[in-house]
Amino acid sequence: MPKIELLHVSKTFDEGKVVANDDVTLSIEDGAFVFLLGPSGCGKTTLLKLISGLETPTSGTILVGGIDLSKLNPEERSIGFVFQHFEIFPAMTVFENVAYGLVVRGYDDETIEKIAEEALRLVSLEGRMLAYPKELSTPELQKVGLARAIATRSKILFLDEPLGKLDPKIRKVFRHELRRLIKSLGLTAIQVTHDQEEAMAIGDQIIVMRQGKILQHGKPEDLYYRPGSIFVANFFGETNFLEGFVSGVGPDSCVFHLHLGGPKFEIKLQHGHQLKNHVQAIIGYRIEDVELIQTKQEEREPGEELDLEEKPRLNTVKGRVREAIFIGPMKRFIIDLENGDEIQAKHSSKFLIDIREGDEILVGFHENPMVFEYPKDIRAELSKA
Amino acid sequence: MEAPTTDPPARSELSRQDIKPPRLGLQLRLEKYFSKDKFRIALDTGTIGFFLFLIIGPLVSLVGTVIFSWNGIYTSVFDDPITGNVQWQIMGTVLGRSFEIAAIATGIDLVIGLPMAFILTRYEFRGKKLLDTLVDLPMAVPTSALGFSLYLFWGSNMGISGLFGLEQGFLSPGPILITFTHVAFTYPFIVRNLKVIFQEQSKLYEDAAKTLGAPGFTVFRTVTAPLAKEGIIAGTILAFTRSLGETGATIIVAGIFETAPMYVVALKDSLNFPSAAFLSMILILVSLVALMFLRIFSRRIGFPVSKVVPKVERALSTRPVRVARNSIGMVLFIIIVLIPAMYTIPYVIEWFAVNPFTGSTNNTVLESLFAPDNKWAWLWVSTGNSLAIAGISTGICLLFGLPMAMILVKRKWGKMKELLDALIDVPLIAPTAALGFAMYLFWGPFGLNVFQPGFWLIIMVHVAMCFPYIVRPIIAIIEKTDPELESAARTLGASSLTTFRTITLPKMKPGIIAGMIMSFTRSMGETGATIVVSGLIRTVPLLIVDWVETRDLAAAGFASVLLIAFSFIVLLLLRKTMEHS
Ligand SMILES: Nc1ncnc2c1ncn2[C@@H]1O[C@H](COP(=O)(O)OP(=O)(O)OP(=O)(O)O)[C@@H](O)[C@H]1O
Ligand SMILES: [Mg+2]
Repeated sequence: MPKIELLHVSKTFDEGKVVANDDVTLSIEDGAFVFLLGPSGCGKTTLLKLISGLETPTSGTILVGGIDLSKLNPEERSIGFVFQHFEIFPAMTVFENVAYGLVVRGYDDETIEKIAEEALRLVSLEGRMLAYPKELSTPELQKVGLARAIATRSKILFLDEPLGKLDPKIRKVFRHELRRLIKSLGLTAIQVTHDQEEAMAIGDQIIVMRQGKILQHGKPEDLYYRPGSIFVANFFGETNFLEGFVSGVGPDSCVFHLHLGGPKFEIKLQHGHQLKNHVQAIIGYRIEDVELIQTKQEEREPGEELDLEEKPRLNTVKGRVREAIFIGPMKRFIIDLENGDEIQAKHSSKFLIDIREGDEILVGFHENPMVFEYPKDIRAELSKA
Repeated sequence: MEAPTTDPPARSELSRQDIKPPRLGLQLRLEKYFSKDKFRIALDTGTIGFFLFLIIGPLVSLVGTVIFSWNGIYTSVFDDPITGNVQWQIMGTVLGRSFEIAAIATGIDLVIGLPMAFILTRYEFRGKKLLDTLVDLPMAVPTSALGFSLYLFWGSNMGISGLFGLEQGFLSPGPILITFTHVAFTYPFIVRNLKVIFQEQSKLYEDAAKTLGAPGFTVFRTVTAPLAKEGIIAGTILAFTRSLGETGATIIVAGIFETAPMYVVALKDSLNFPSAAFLSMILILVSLVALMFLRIFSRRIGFPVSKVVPKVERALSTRPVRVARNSIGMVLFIIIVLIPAMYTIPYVIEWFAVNPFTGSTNNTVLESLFAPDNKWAWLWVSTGNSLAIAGISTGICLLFGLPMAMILVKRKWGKMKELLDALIDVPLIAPTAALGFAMYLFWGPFGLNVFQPGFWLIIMVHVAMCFPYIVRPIIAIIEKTDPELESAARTLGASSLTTFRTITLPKMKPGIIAGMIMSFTRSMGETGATIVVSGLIRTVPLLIVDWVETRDLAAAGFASVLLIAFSFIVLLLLRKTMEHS
């Protein structure tokens, strides 16, 4: 029922000087748990406020379950909202906070008590009912905010960086509890976060915003492996971007030249790509996808030959390890390629234990990189803002 | 793919040992020298001493007078051989009247001011800035000019009754007109206070309540009001005490009905000092009690947040009700506050050269100003006086206000500091006439005999009156700035005075400017205390009072407009500096 649709929604502040949302069109299916990501100030909170009626769009239409919301006040929209700073009413107890949404709807005391207590039980706060907000810890406040929103039994829930103030350990546990809760209640939820990993770990879908616009909307895997822009590729995970130009562009492959006369990569292209022949381009490899191959004879097992034919589709470039950094389970390598580019690679520490700083190695690039046309402003694309 | 950080090269500037620290320049050396503890103590002592003389001294001398001349007071107030306790009865009447007027005026203000404050903080619309300025406008009108304006509008046949072709004013001078005047005069204070409260209170609590399904009225009653409670009470008490102590405007619109502060002036004029002291003390005590109440109890009062009545509250939150409430708030503001307060301006323009009804030059501004009694000259002499007094008092206030603000924020003196902090506000709420009289007793011929009524005594009174206006904004700014900034400067090697000059002072600038402007306008418009201590000197507000008494309305109107113009320019400056900060 509560499918959320936005049609060309824009919002400006200060008489058009600040554009918070710019022609946003969007559709969110019933029951989806969607994550909203983007740099600070890109309009995430504003977008949620528009849908819940706390701000009025400058233009555009917002529909929930096919019904135009523009005539409805926020209190008539029945959209739960967990605020960035929780906004727990300081003058009320935990119970009163959670009961608030039921009290203002005029339920009788008994019903209020039953529902509010259950909501508190769901976030395991039943023991703190009579406490005042100032006596609570941050995670507890966060739970009150959540309980208060779900107690109204709205079918839609917005969460504006609900975990932002928790410390990373608690956060990782809590995010799974949160997902379980939202799924068990069958809610359609949109959560704002700055944590890409969190979004990928528990989101059904991810929306990436930038400067008020939606850049990409899709499943976590899609965004990770098929980012639509350098910005999105850079936003999730860690990526090596290599600059060069392409030749021999066919329907599903091309040759990428790292330099004129320098290393050449044979790479695959997706069908329907827009790439033209003989233009500048950028290819991207996730740092965990860059392979490192030891070339020093004595480090190889006896009898083992350096056999690149075994990895037929690997494009290789010579390089030299500048730094090898141990980070627990993983090891991170910073490598100077022979053409002067610098790249990084990350691999399990157990393997590749023998690659050390100063080693000459071969760096292997697979044939399925992300391929982008050269953007107008490369610096802007690579910034996180 | 950021480049990994490389270590600084071994022979960097940072590791050179052969750079000698230079000799400090004169300014830095002086600052370092005067940063020593003994100078700080000297400055603190001087500031506190000044403060004692300024405010505590007069208060003590007032109480002293009451105690030492108790027998005299007893006879003249309670047991006069001829009139018996008539004087006490009069005091009772005037006090009662003052309280009644203050209560009603504050009540009305609250009712019409709340929606306005809400409109100004919670809605976005075209012309909001203009409305905001208009609401503050009556504050720029000095009280005697305001009183005159209201008298013209409601009380004379040249105001609203003229529109209906009546011979007489709508309201004759008296309690009702006083109440109207006090409503107009306290309105900006109430709205301003409420505005600050609503602004500071996060709108997000209200947003949260809305998303939980509460209609607008319920949100206000259950979320906004309880959180704003302290501020609302504070604003109300401030407005109440201001109304209680108002003299300048009241004198003009009171007719034969006296209020308590006016009676102080009358008693003093008839040289009945003991009785004047007695009544002043009562007035100041009432204000002090209000102040204490404000500081101690406002936090503990509960707001009745009983059960929600969904049907009724939903009905009260509907659009028509909201629109009606907002428009009523707006209309009442325009009719009761804005137009009456500004009415002198059209009046002066209309009556400038010719009588708009008869076409003659009788009673016009020009005729009245250039009459043989030389009002024109008086006006400019007193304008000079007003400007000089305002300038000098503001300067003195600043000189002692800065160190005082620092003391109140930085020193850790416990209870003693709390007391000091409370006493600063006394001039803010004590009735001005009573305060002026206390200062007259202290400094004048019956006390230290340092100042005679006149220029310098007026300045002393204005310094006391303006002191909180300078100190408060500075304190507010210091409290907002991050103390770690100063710590940082100190760890980088700056002495405490250098830190003050380079870090603290620049931050305080907007606060200082705002305070100076407030103090300047306040001094320009002050009437109640000035009357008591002026002697033969005249300031512009006093001229207005004089001229209304002698029925030279056109001249009084011109003087009012002049005063309004000055104050308005200053208010504009204030807004500009606020916006820049
Ligand atoms: N009430 C307002 N008045 C003026 N500008 C506003 C208002 N609310 C938001 N903005 C501006 O709109 C833009 C988007 O703000 P928004 O709060 O939606 O960003 P956000 O993506 O939630 O940022 P963050 O990640 O920091 O929370 C910002 O430039 C912000 O300054
Ligand atoms: Mg936000």
